[in-house]
Amino acid sequence: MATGAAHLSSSKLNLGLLRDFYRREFLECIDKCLGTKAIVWDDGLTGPFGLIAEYSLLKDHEVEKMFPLRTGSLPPSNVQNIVFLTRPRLELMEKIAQNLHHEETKGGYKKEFHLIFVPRKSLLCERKLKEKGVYGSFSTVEEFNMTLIPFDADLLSMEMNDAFKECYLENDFTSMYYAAQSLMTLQALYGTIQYIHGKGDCAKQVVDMMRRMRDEMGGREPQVLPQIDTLLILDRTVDLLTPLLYQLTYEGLIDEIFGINNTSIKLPAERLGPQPSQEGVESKKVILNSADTLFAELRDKNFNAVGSIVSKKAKLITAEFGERHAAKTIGEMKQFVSKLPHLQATRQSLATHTSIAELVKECTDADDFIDALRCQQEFINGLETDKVHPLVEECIAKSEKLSKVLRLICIQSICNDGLKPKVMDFYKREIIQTYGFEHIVTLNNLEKVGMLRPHGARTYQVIRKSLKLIVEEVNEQNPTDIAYVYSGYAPLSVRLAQYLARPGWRSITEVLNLLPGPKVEEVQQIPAALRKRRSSISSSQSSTGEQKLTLIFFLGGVTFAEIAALRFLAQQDDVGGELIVAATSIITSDRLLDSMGGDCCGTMEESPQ
Amino acid sequence: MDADDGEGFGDFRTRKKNIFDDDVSVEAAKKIITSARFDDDDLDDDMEILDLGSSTTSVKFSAAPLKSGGDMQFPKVNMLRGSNTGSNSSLTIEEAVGTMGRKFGSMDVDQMQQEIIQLRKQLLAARKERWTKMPVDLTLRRIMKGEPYSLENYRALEDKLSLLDKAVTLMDGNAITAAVLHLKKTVKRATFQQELMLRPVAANHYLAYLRGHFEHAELIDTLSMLGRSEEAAIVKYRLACSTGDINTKVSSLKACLRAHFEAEPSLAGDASLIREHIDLLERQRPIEDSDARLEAEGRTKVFLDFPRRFALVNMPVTTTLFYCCLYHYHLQENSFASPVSIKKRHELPERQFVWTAVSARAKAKGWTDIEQLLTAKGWFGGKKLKAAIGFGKVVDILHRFQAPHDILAKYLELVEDLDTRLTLAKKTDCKKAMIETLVKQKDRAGVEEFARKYSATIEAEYARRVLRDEAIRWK
Repeated sequence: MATGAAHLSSSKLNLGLLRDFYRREFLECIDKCLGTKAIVWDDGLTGPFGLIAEYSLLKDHEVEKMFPLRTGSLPPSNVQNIVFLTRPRLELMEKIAQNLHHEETKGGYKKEFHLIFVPRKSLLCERKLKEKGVYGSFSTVEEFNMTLIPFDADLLSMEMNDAFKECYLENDFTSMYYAAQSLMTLQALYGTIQYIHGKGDCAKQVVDMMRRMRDEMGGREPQVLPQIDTLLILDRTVDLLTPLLYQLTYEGLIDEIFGINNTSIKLPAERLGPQPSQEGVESKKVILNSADTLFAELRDKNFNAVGSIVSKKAKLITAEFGERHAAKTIGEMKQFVSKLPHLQATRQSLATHTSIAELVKECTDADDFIDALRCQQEFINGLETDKVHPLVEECIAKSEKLSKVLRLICIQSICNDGLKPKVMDFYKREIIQTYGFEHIVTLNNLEKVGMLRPHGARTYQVIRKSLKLIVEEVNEQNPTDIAYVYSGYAPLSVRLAQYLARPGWRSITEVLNLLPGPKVEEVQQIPAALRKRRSSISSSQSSTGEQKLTLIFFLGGVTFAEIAALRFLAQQDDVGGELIVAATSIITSDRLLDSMGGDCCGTMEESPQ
Repeated sequence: MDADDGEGFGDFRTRKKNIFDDDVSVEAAKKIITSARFDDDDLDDDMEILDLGSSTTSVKFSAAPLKSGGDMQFPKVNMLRGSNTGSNSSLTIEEAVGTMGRKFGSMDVDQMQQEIIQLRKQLLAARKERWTKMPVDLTLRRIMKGEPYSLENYRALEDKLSLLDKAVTLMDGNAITAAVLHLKKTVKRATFQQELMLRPVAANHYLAYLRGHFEHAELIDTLSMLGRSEEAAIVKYRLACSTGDINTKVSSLKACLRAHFEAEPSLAGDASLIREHIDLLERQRPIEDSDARLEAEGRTKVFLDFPRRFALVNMPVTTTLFYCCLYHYHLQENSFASPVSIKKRHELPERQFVWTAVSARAKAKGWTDIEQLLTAKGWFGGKKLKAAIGFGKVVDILHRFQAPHDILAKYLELVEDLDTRLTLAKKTDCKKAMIETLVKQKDRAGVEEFARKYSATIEAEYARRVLRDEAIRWK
């Protein structure tokens, strides 16, 4: 069943199980309408669904046509059913309504219409459809509860890019409900999680919702042996600094530069070496997950270490190809031939990653990148944060991308515990004058979520020192601390996870009190029959050194650099135990800041200059 | 060689797919299926399908699928599933194929009759329910599960409020929204607002609803009522900004300024920005009108040299400044399009002004303008070149707009730091400046290398002359 998803099952927690679960549920859902069907896809869903099912599978279930959801009318087709697969978003309802109106005026052969909401029906959307007078045209309105998509053996994403904005800007906590629900799904599959820790308002809300959902089940709890020991839920507002910083791991940089979308990126084809018989293809899709063993090795490395690994691998593979000259007997030849497919695959992957690394290097070697990085390093070390920084001014004068300017200013604001009024006003005016008055809204939004704020109580220095966020002398090749992912800065969020594992949060109570939002601690009772016999009488069992499994859930998104730091942490002996990371979405500074823009702010990418 | 097992597998795949090809008859398909059945143990799923398939012997394909009256079809199928579930809960391919050409048999009539009975029961139950007030918990659970529900029996205010409060404790967005909207629909506006003020969570959901339905007037009212005047002001401002027509935009901005920003002391800072926004638009409007006309007439040189790529209206301040420096640099300060007047009105910092003006004049190849711009009166009436952004940046900009070498050289000379000057001279390919800088640095080796590298150029001759000059003391 799990075709093309072997990489999901390679960790202690078999996430292939989750994928299979969704796959079954999805097929059941579309099978409810009989006969040939066309699926109309919300663009935001094609990527995630690609990770759980493939087109051939849908074809087997009589899906004959697939259309993207667009305004206007649907392309002609002679299927019996039209299935709209959509997220519960009002703007999409408009499009669906238009499609239906057109379809109905067309007349002719009568089709049946079905609507499937992912992950959940929404009252608002249904109302909208009723207002538009099309709700009655649907034979069925269903929901398909897919909230947490397995990206890799240790990574899950809800793919809700607007979760942060919705929660902290608009006070709309629907995504938190989905998060709680997805955690219930996980518990149904992998057993109840005994210990829950959390920090932040949303974390508390999620834990409360989980408690309620559990109460509602009233004893019908999953009879599954618990596989996850601890759950840590972190609000993004607890650590707003980390996602703003330039990620310096391989995967993090790829995401910042090209944007990884559902574990794949599109690259200019001509840069990926000679492509046999693929003329006219402008971009090529590259899938990035641990199924590619080379990528699995490279992804979490500091970019400065990538070059040497790639070249070592290249030498190795050349040597292995060279073995065929040494092969004399038929037996040796046979052995070589049996290795050949693997060798060829490795060589292909090596070529791909060499090209990607070159593209990344072009960006990281550029002056503007180095300057911005230097400026960032000054800020996080608490230098030059209380005055207008010349680089910021220059970026504005050059009309560089607004998200870059905002990024630097927000970093400065956080590291200075808020900007002095004079500095704030200066930046505000310059931004508005260069990027347009409409950005009053953007700046207002940033203030609302706390990324930009007026000068307040001094906490950054205390937090920085007590959690050892700044680490001098990091070894980028053979790191000894998580700080390698930002070349000298240890992500606050990951430090919290590290302290939780050892020696425990009690040791950092003071710092936790400085961070926003409440601390949450909860123990969920596990039926005696399902309890693990830890520290049991038979010493033989404990000596097997069974490792603890912790799930870390980021509300408001996580960056690839943080994921890398967590993976690094899991490999360290003193922390011990495996980690699984889940998040509302994978974010970068750009994606986070773009979502803060008011919707009336058209981007002024090209000015007459 | 690596294809061996792969191909075998692929073979099976294609065979499996063939079932659905139009040109394969049912009989043939069945044959393929039944033979495939013994192929492999891994294909348990497929086996189940087949078992069901072979039992439906009455399958026949007809050209047009038979329809039993639009809406009835779907429930019927549901029933059929219910009776068939036994071993296999999910609907299988064969079942789906089967229904395409199912003949109307006695079994169907039975099923439909059963269905009618079922539906009647449901209808009766629904009729009864309609007039009984269900407990709040039960109704909320129905909302949360997406089942049908009715709120019209909650008539007393306390019922409506308990529904709302319970929904809030359950933290379910759908339920809260439903309860809020029910309250709004059925009580007096004043009561609604009063209750909403006591329930911030409910208020947030109501606001999200209004935002989603573009009910801006009510959104702004509600925000103001809740004392969130800052948010109300921003919503109003956003609304004004999204107006397409410039005249309407200006008037709605003015209205927004009066009604929201000027009324709220805490928004004084933003109020002055919005006043600037209005002034900018009012400045752009006449310039755009007259320039568009001039360009259309095609007699003004500057518009022929630099065709306008954008309409000016709605551009930011610095872009406007650039535009005016490009097309209207020499206008008097009392004119709308005068760069100096823009600088004054929008309190542009000197550096920003210089940066933009130099760029614009460089594009227009107005080298003397740049020189004048950068000339500052020194002590005792002497004249001196001065650049707020530093001459390094000036050179950068000039180079970007392809300034000639003699102009570049002039400003290069003013870059104080010699290392920077040398780097810039190399970047802009100003050979003379390179030699001069090297001489200043007393770097004989550097000059020698230059002479070697560019041996064919005139500057190489100059370099050689420098090297022969005994007056120079080298390092």
